[in-house]
Amino acid sequence: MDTYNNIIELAKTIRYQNLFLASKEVSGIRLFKNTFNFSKIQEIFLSYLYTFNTLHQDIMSYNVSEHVLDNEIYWDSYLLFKRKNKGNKKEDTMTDTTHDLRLVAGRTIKFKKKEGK
Amino acid sequence: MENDKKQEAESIIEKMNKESDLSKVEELIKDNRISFTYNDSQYRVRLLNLREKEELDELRRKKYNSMIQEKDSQGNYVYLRESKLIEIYKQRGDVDIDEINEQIKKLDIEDIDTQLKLGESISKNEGEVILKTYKDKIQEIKMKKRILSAQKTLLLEFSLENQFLNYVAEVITCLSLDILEEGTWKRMFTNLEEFRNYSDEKLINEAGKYSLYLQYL
Repeated sequence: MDTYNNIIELAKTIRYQNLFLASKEVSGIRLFKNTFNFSKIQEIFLSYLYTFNTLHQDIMSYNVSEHVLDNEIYWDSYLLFKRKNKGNKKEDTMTDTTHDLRLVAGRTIKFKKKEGK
Repeated sequence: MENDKKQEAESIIEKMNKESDLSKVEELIKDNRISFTYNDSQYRVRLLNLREKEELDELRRKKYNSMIQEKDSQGNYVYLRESKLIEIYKQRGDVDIDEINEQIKKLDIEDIDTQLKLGESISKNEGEVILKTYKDKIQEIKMKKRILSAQKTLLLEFSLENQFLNYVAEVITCLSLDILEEGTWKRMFTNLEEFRNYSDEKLINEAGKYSLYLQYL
C-alpha cells in the first residue's frame, strides 16, 4: 500500500471534501477524534484537503478545467502559477505609490475650497 | 464477451482494492494514535506526552555528546559529520557531493520554471499536447532529482547527523509503543535497553512504521 498516494486519494474524495467543508461551518462536525496535537500524517492530510478545496472552488468558478485533478504535476503547477501570479499582482500594486497619498510622508490632500467662501 | 466479463471482474477487484487501501489510510488518520493487532495482542503507537518528551531530550543530549566524542582503537572519530564526509569523498576523488548539490539546485530551478509554464498553460486551457509535453519534462526533471538525492543519501548514510536521526527515531518508537493488558494501555518498554533486546523484530518494525507516520512521514 502506497500510504502517501492513498492520503491524496482520500483527501480528493467527495465524502472528505464535503466533511471538510461541513467541519469548517458546523462546530459539532469533526474530521478527527483529536481536536489538537495533530500527527504528521493528519497534517499532511489536512494540507491536501485544503489543496483540493481550492482546486474545486476554481473549477466551480470556471477558472480552470476539472482535468487539473488528473495529475499531481498538473495541480501543483497550477497552484504554483496561481500563487506566483497573485504575488506579482500584489507587488505591482504595492510598488505603484504615485497615486497612493497615504504612503507619502508629509503629503496632505488639499481640497479645493468651495467658491464664495 | 468472455473478455468483457474478465475486464469487468478485474475492474471490480481493482475498485475493491482501492477502497480497502483508502479504509486503511482512514484508520491511520482518524486519531493522533494508531492501534494495531499483532499476534493476537493489541498495541498502539501515540504521540509523546510531556514527560516522555523530556525523557527523549535527555537521551538525545547524552547520545549526541557521546557520538561527537567517540573514538575507535586507533584514535579516529567513529562518527563523522556530513561536511567532513563530503571533504573526504572529495579528497579521495571518488565523488563530489557539492557538485551533486549544485546539480540538484539547477534541477530545482528548471523544475519550478517548467511548472510555472505548465501552470500558465493550464490556466489558459491550452491544448493537451502542450500540457503533456510540459508534464513529461517535469517528470523527467523530478526523476533526475530523485536519482541524485538517492545517491547523496546513500553516500551520507553513516554521517553523524543521519546516525543520530536514526537513534532519535528508535527512541521515539520505544517511548511511544503501548500494549493493552487487562483493558489498560501500558508502556511496552520501560527503557531503551529492553527495547533493543526485544526478540520480535517484526513487531518493532511495525511499530516503527506507525511511529514514522505520526512523527515524520
